[in-house]
Amino acid sequence: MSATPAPTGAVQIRTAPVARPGDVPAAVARLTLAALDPPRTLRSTDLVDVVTVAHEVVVELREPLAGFARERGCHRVAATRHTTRAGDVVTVVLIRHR
Amino acid sequence: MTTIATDPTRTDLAVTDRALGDRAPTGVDPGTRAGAILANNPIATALTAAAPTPTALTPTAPTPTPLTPAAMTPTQLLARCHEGDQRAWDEVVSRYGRLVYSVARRHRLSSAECDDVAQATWVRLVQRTGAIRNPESLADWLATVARNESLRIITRERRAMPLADPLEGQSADIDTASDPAAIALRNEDLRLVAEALGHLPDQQRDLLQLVLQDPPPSYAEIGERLGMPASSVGPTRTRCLRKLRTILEGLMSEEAPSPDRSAGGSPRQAPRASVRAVPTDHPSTQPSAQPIAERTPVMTDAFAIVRDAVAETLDLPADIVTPTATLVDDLGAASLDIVEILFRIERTTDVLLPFEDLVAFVRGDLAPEEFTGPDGRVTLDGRRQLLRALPQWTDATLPNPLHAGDVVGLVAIGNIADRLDARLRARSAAHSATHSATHGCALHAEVAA
Repeated sequence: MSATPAPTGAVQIRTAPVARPGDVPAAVARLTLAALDPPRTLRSTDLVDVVTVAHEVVVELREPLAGFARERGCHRVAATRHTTRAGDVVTVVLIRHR
Repeated sequence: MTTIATDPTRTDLAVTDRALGDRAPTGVDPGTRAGAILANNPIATALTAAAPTPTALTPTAPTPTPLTPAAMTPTQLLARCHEGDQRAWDEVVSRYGRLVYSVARRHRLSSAECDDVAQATWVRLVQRTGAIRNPESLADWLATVARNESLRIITRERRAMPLADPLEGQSADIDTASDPAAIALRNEDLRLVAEALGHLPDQQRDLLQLVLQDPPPSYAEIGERLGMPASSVGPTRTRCLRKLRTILEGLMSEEAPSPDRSAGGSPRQAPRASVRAVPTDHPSTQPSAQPIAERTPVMTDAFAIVRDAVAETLDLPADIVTPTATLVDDLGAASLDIVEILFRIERTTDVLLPFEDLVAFVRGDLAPEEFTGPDGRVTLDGRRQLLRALPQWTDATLPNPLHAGDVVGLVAIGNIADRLDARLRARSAAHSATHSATHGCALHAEVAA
């Protein structure tokens, strides 16, 4: 995984297309983990609760992943889903507060 | 310093890519992917082998170099972002991240608040990638959203400042802390508030106590503690505060005739210390003395009602809620916010403006299948209807292609005000007709007598 210095220092936007609406929670959970980049022991989608209502996506982290995120200043994981010509796309926006 | 990953979640996406079948995977150059397919296809390999090998003299056609995200225009970048291209997102953040942050910093927000502004701005962009009217002005768009988010935070801070004690600012030379009358009055206020809180159901009381903590916990935390969705916390809080105020007014009116109350010389004010988030003098929360049906509704009335409802729901300064501002794109309303706005309008005017009515107004006489094509895009007839219903848009400015899901984002404050105005006029006309009919009957009876 290559990296570029971020001018804002903290923005993580992860996006991926999903094949079916039923895949949205799993995709959001994977993207959330990718954005948080926790150690291998915490890298489990079971620790990410995703609830979707229409196009609203709510992400909740479970302990100990939530503690890991708090330690790194991640107060909120925002996720959204939209429909394109090719299908649905989910995006996770995460900020690491300094 | 944190980093932005330029390579998407390749391992994560591998599963998705397989599920997608022939869809081009995110972050993979189409040319590369085509090459991979060619290499694995025996027929293609055989055809390639049979093809004459170009000699050195054969002029080779220049192969088009794929455009890298860094070389893309904002329009191209946004289109790629909309399709879920991770590299395009990285480029957008890299190109405009500093701008977003600097707008927030210019408002003298704290570092954490700047981060909040940045997150909200990016979330807004993620939600609106396919519906920005002028993608070339992406920088302006981001700056505007960041500025609005900053103002929202500033406004929230201003509102969250505890209102002065009712007696605190009266006079400097009065020592209110030791004034027995002031102490008694304050204690009376607290007693009334406590009594009013006692009239609320347990969950509503708990919610109010949580939102009034300093610093207040997040809605997610409140929702978790109370076992309710985070998205319901805001609307429930508003309803609780309104209910609390009604109870307080009831309690105060019961006790108002007491002669000691007027002994202080000034009229008794509602205790405000604990209901800081409710602007008691706000026009949209104060029932009008005159029923709105009896007034001559004019457009400015309707606009003011809509503007106040929007500003209150979205926690925005009223001056940025202009007739041309779009609810979703410019003001950042989510679908639940729109429902809340319509609900507020209904409470203020008694005019029902259901969300479905708004959709029907935009769609006109067209059936859903006439308005939206099988690919989810708005049809040509649908676009013509949109231009009729939303006159602020022209064929040139209307996004093309336009997806049905993005149509609500085109609705401006003025459009909703128009709808409300039409409803108010209709009700007023019906009221006048009823009045004339009754009056006519009475005259008729008089003549008959």
